[in-house]
Amino acid sequence: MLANLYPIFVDAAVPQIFVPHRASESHWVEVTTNVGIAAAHLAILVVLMTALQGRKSRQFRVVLWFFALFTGFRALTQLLGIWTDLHPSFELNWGFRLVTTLLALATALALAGSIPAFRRLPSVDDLNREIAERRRAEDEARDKDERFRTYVEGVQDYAIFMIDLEGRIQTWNRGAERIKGYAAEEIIGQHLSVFYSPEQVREGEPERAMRVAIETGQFDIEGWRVRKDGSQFWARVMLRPSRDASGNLRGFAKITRDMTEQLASEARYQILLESMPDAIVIVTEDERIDLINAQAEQLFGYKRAEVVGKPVDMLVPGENRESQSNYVKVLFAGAVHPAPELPGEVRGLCRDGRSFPLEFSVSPLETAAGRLLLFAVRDLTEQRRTEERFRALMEAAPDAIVMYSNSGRIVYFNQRAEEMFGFPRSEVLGKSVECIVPERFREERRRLREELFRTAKLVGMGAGREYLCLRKDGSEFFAEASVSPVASPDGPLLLTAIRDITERKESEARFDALLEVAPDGIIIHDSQGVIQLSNKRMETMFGYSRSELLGSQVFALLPERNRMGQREGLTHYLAASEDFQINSVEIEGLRKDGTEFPFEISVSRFETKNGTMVLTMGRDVSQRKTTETQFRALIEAVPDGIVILDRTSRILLVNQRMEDLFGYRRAELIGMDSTMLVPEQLRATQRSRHEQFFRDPESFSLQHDGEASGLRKDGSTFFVEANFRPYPSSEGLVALVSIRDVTDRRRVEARFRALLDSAPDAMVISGVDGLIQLANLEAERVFGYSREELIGKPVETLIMPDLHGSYQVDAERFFRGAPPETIGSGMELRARRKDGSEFPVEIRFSPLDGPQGTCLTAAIRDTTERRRTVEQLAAKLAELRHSNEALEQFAHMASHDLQEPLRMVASYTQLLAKRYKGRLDADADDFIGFAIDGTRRMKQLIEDLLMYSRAGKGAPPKQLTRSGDALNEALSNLQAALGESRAEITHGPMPTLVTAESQLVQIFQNLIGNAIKYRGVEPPRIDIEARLAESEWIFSVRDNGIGIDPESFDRIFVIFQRLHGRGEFEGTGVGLAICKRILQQQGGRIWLESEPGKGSTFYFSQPVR
Amino acid sequence: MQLDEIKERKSKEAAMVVLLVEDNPGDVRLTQEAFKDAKVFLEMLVVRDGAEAMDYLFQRGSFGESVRPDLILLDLNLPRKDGREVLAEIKSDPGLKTIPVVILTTSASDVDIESSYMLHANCYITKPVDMEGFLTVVRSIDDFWLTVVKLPSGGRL
Repeated sequence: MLANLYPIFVDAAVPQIFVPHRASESHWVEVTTNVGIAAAHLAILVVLMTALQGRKSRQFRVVLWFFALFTGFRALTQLLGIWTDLHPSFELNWGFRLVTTLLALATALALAGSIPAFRRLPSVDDLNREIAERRRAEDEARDKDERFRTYVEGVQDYAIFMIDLEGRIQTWNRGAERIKGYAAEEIIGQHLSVFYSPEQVREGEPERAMRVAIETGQFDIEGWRVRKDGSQFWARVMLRPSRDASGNLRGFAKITRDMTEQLASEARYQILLESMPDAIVIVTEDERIDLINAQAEQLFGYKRAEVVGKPVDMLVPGENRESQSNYVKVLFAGAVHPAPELPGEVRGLCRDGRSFPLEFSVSPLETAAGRLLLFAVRDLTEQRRTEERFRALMEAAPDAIVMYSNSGRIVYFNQRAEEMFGFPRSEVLGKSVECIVPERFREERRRLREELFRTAKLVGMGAGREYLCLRKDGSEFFAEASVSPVASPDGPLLLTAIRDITERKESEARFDALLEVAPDGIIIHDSQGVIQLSNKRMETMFGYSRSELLGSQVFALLPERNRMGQREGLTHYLAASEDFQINSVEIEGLRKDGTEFPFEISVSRFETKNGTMVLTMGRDVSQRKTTETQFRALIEAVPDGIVILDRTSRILLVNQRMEDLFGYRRAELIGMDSTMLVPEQLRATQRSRHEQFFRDPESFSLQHDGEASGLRKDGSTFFVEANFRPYPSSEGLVALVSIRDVTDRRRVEARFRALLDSAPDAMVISGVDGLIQLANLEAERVFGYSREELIGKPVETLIMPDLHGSYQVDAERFFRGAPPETIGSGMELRARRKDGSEFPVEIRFSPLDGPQGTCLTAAIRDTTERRRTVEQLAAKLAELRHSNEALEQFAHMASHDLQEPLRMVASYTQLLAKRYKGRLDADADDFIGFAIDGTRRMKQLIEDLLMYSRAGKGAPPKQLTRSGDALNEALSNLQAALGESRAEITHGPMPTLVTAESQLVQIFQNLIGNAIKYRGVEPPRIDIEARLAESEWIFSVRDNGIGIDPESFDRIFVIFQRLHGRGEFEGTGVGLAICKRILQQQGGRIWLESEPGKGSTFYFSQPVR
Repeated sequence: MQLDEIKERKSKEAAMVVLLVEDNPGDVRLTQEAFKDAKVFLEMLVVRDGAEAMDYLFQRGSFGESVRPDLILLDLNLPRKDGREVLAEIKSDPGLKTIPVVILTTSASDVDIESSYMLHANCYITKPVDMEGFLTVVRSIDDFWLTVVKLPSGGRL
């Protein structure tokens, strides 16, 4: 278009040269041309303005505006030329011309400045070429787009489609059709939320996807999507914003892939991962996080997307990173199983910077992508806190707490336990728990522990068991324990809480003692009526043993008919206020044997940790309760004759037994004078006794119970025992007399007494009160008291006052049931006679159950004689020892002192022989020879005697000795004799024993020496054996020598006793005597078996120790 | 042979001086006879009890000009002053203690043997009962103490 303007512009630019006014004849011509030129210029101006107005480009605008102004002024100049021709005024004309000239110059200048722009303007050819090029490119692009579109549409594996900004679907491909099930025509224009489940739509998933894609330029996700038919598939989705050429957001491209199949293989793994209770962190070899599960997300506070691909360091506190990293390297480098220990405490780091203790296990994961490590991480914070709390709790526990494994190893010992047992913790941890148990219970306790581990049963404190425990210092104490099984990572443990109950035991013991001596029956039962405790009195009252009572129902002690009522009574009592007490209420008691008796009780209660306890104290009030009928029944029932007398001795009442005893009928007896029942000569005494009784019944009863004679109706008499008791009746005080036929007893007693009197020891029988009830003849003799004097006296009268205390202790012990035992044997127990002189005794106690309860029989033996004998024996022994010592001394000295002159004689006779042999006559030589022989024998005798006396004096110290060695030494000492005789020595195994080796050598040497010496014609065969018999070794030396006549067995052991003449065998007869002496001193023996001509066997014994 | 050479040389040089402390004349003679029998040449001085022995050694009384012995043969059981005392005195005197003392006694008791050595006796010999034994002992004394052993040279009494 501009190009088209160009020629016009060039033509118009031709400058108009001013032409001076010409002749008027040509005036019209002038005017006409001027008008024509002006009009042409105006036309150019109009055209130019129009062109300028329609053009958007601002290029060349300045030039064109200058050109338009110039053209306008040119036209005006032409018109002014006409005006000037008419009205010659040159000023105006010249003004216009100047302006026009200036404008022309400006235009020229502007044009010159635009030259480069003009130059750049494409030519028409260029433009045409460009247009053609562009058209071709457009065609090409259209072609490519088409191809891409067909490709996209043809893709089967991916759903690829475009959606607009509102989320409506704009394109669809075959993959989309296949994956999602929609045909293109049904889906295009629909909103993409049709691919989501209603829940996902509600949660704004589609919108979120688009928003994230816009904000971050991409959105990738995997998740469940819905097909047309409603089925779901696991999709991997990529959403990318799509922009036009000018960068404006147009919509989104969405690519979806069906991953359901891949999921199926990964799903299990994934589900497994997610279903693990532990936080799982999977780490790649370059120490980056490959995956974490939801638990790990929760634990560390990160979202999965935040950590996947990041270094695993981010989950580890700074100070642990290095060791963690090294650890991972180690794991990758080597075997994971077994995983090496990671030293120190392992901690994790949360997103918020908090660190926490953890434990983990690690396992390798082989994948196509290489080896991964799976860390299963468990937060220990809570466990630590629990442990801390638990520990604090245990430390603060008032009981000693000891925890141990099933091997008994102590793993925990609290402070209280340290105090209680005196062991510092450090000493017992790791030790066996038996170290706090006294040795004698260890086996039992160990079994108990094993039992507890097996049953894993909880045993409560005070479950009736008390244990003896051992302190470090060896002292013991009673404790009560509770045991509970505790699970720990290292296997089951037992937690034992131990409570020292020494004090309680003591107070219990005091209480028990108190309870036992209480005169009333005491029973404690719980609110259910179960008896928890009872005392001795209760047992005797009801006839039950304690074990029968404990744990049974208290109501069993009541007659059946009352039980219900009493049970209700108990309920009421327990419901009543605490001050409510039951005092001295009478109820019926039921004994074990079924009999009933009136029982007065007082009831109180107290609270214990086991609930309310009811304490009932009661006493048998039968006596007080006796009614006439009961009384009568009782009287009839008793085996004794019963008679009630009034003050005038008249019989008021008798029982059946009375009739039997005296041969009268009851009717005869009633109203009879009771003195008629005693032999005539005794009646006066009897009468006065009655009177005495009624004056002071109490003291009478005490003094005059005893034996008397009875007179039957038939006139025969018999021994009776009559007991008078006062009885308050409606007729005033009467006498209740029980009469027993004691004829048989008298007979038995008489026999017993005779027996007693014939006993060689003084016998004294005393009661619990310590008063003598009976004494025998020997007692009278020994102590100088008459029997009457003794009876009723305390036994201590017979014992020296300084020994009373120890006597009582012993006596009490025997009353409590100790077995019969002799006291005073070996100790100085001294008795006292009536005359005050004392003598040594030995007393043997034995309890004797008699009609009046347990009695104590003391058999007292005067040991004066025995003591004297013992003393004499000791004196004799000392004397003997003394003389023996003197004798030994003598033997020793004698042999020593004999040696001195012997030496002179021997030496000088030898010197004589040496210097003068052959220089005197033959007789002299003979005499010298005899003298020398004599000295030689004398020398031997003295040496043997010396040895014998040494054998009796102080044995050498004993030590562990190999008898084989001793034998060898003896044989080596005998070497010459052995060689000469060609003796054959054999021996069995020789023991090692404690003895004096030198003495053993001596014995062997003497015995073997004898065996060689007294050999027969054959070479000697000697066998030495040793065998163990009970506590001693028996050695035997057997030979095949000449043997010994049994008659001589004793003689051979006597010193200097020889059985053979000097001509036959050499010797002094000391060897066996020495052996015997040595063995006697050691506590051993020596003996032999032998038969002349067949050899001998010598035996000797040696104590094992 | 060598021993004999030494003996020969020694006898040429100077006879050894032996002091015999012995109360029993029989034993004195026996000892002298035994030395003679063994062909040992020496000068034997005899004193009869412990006190005399000490007088001799300390040159007291009649022993003003006594010669220092090379060897002392000492019996234990002596009158006036016991052999043990003599031994103790010799061995505690700086001038005498270098003279070897041979105990020659009848006693074979362990107590005597031990106490003698405790008192620094140089050796202990129990007198054999027979002559042959005694001769052997004397020869041994000569061979060992008077021939083999180097004794301290002199010193004055």
